[in-house]
Amino acid sequence: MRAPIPGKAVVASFKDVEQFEAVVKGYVTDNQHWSAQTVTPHPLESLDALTAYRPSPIPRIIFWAFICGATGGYLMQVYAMAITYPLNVGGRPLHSWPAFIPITFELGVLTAAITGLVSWLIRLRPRLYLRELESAIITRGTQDRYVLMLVPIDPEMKAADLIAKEADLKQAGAEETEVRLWD
Amino acid sequence: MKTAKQENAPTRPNELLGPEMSPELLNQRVGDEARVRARAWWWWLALFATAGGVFMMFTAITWVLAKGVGIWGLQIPVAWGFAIINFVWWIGIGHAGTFISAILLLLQQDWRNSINRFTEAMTLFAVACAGLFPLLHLGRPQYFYYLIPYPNEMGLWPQFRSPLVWDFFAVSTYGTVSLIFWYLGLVPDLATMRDRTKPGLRKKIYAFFSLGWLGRDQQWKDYRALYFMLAGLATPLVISVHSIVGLDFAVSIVPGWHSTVFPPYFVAGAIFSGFAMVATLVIPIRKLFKLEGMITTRHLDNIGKVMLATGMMVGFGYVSEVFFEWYSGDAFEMQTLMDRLTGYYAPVFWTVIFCNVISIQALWWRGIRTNPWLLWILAGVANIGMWMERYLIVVTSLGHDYLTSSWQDFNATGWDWALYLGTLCFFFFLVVLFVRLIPMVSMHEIREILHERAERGKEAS
Repeated sequence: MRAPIPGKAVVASFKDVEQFEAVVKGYVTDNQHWSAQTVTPHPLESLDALTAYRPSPIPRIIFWAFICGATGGYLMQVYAMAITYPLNVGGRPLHSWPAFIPITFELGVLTAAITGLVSWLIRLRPRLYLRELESAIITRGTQDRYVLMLVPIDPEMKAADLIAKEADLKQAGAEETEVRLWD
Repeated sequence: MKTAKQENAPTRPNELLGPEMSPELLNQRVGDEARVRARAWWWWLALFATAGGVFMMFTAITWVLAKGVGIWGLQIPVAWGFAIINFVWWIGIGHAGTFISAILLLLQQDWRNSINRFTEAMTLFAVACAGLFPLLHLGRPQYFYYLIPYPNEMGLWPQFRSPLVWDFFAVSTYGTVSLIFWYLGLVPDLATMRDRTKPGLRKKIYAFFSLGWLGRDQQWKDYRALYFMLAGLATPLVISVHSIVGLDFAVSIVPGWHSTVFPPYFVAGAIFSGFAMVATLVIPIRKLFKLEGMITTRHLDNIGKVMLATGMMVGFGYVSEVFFEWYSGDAFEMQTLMDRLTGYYAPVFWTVIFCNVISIQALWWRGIRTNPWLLWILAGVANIGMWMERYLIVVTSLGHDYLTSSWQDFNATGWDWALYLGTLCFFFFLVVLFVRLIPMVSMHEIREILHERAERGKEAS
C-alpha cells in the first residue's frame, strides 16, 4: 500500500525506539482520524507486528522470473544445438542436456535479478524530489532518528487539532515536533 | 602471543563494534569525515600513482589492439598465458565480495555489515579487470559479440557445450548481479548522504542516485525482500562462476587439468584470494579513515579464520592433485607432476606451497590474526601465492602436453607485465575514487547492529 502524499501532517522525531514503537502502536490500532507513516534509518522488525503486515510480492515475482529465464535459456540451447544447427561430433547426442545446465542456471539468475530490480523500482517509484525532504525533522529519519508522520484522514482538519496532536506527541516523548503544511 | 595486546583499536577483541559507536558518530565518521580525510596528501598521491598505472594499462591495450596478441609471450602450445592467468586471478578476488555480501548475510553473520560495502565494490572492480583479459585474448576483440546468442544471417550459434561460452554467461551474470546488489545496498546510504549534504551539485547527485528513498515502512519491507532474494540467488551463483572457470580447465584432456577436483578447488582458492585482498584493502583503510570502531579486531580475526579455512581447502586440493596424477598411472600426468616438482617451474611450485600452505599456518594463532600488520603481510603473501598458483596451472600443463615435439617453456614479455600491473593499478585507482565518493561502510546495516546492541543492553539491565 502506497502512503498518500500528505498535504499536511504532524511530524515527530524520537530518539528512543521504545517510545517510538509505543506511539506508533497507538495510531495504527486507532486509525480513524490519522494515517500513521514512519520513516526509520534502518528496518524495524517490530513495525511488522504493529502495522498491518503485508508481505512484499517481490519474492514471488523473482521466483517466476527465474523459472521463465531458466526455461527460456534451456529451450534456446536445444533450439540452437539440436534443431537449427545440428553438429554431429563423433555421434554424440545433439540434445546433450548436461552440457546445457550451466547456461540454463545462469540465465535463470540473470532474469530473476533484473526482474527483481525492475519490480522493486516500479514499487519504489523513483523521484528526484520529495516534499517531505523540506522538513529538517523528517530528514533525520534517514540518519539517526525514528520519525512518525501523522496525516489527517480528513483533509479539512482544523489547525487547532493539528497543534493539539503535536502537543500530545511531545508529551509522549518526541524529541522534536512540528506541524507541516504543504501547499 | 602478545601481539593482540599491542593492538591499538579501542575495542576488546570479541566486540563487533567499538563501545563508543552510536548512530550519530557513525554518520559523522562514514558520512562526513571520510570525505574530508580523503582530501589529504596521501589520497592525491595514491590517485596520481595509480593513474600512472592506468595510463600504462591503456598503452598496453592500445598496443595489443594495434599489433595483435603476438606481443605477449603466447606461443603454441602455451596459447593461454597471462591473459587466462589474470582472468582467473581477478575473478577469484571478486568472489570474496559476494561471499561476504550474500552467503554471510544468509548465515546471519553480523560482522559482515562493516566490510560488505568495500568487498562488493572490490568485486565489481575485480570483475571489470577480469573481463578485459578474455576480450583482448580473443585476438579480434571487435567480434566479441559472436559470443552472444543472437539470430544472424550466417545461421551460426555459439557452441553452448563449451565451458568457454559458459564463462561468458557466468561472468556477465555475475557482474550484473554484483552491480545490482551493490547499488541496492547503497540506496539508503545515499539517501543519508543526500540529507546530510548542503544544497549544491553534490546533493543533487546524491538525490539522483538515492531514487527518492525515504525509509518508509513499506519501502524497507520491499527492500529487504529484494535484498534477501538477491542474496539467495547470488549464493549458488558465486559457487557456479568459479566452478565454471574450473571447468574451463577440467573439461579439457590436458595433463594436470583433467580432474574432478578442479571446481571445488577453484572456488576455495577464489574465496581464499578474495579474503586476502579484503585484508589488503581494509587494514590500511581502517587506519587512514579512523574506522577502527567499525572494523574491529574481531573482523580481522574472522578474516584470518576464513583465510585459514579456505587456504587449508586449497592445500587439500594440491595434495589430491598430486595424488591423482600419481594414481592415474598415466606417463604424461606423471611427467607434468615431475615438471612441477623438480623441473623448470619448480621454483614457482614451491613458492606456491610456501605462500598458500605453509605461511598461512601462522593464522592458527589468534595473536597473529588480530595483529593488523602481520595479517596484512600474510594477505599479501597469499595474493602472490594465488597468482602463482594460476600461473602454474595454466603454463606447466599447456607447455608439456601429449605431443613431446611441441613442448615449450613459457616466458612472459614486457607487454604481459604492463597489462597485468596496469589492471592492478586500475583496480586500486577505482578503490581510491570509491573511498572518497561513496559511503564506504554500510551505514544502515551498522545501525541495525547498534539497535540490536541497545536492545540487548536494555534486556540485560
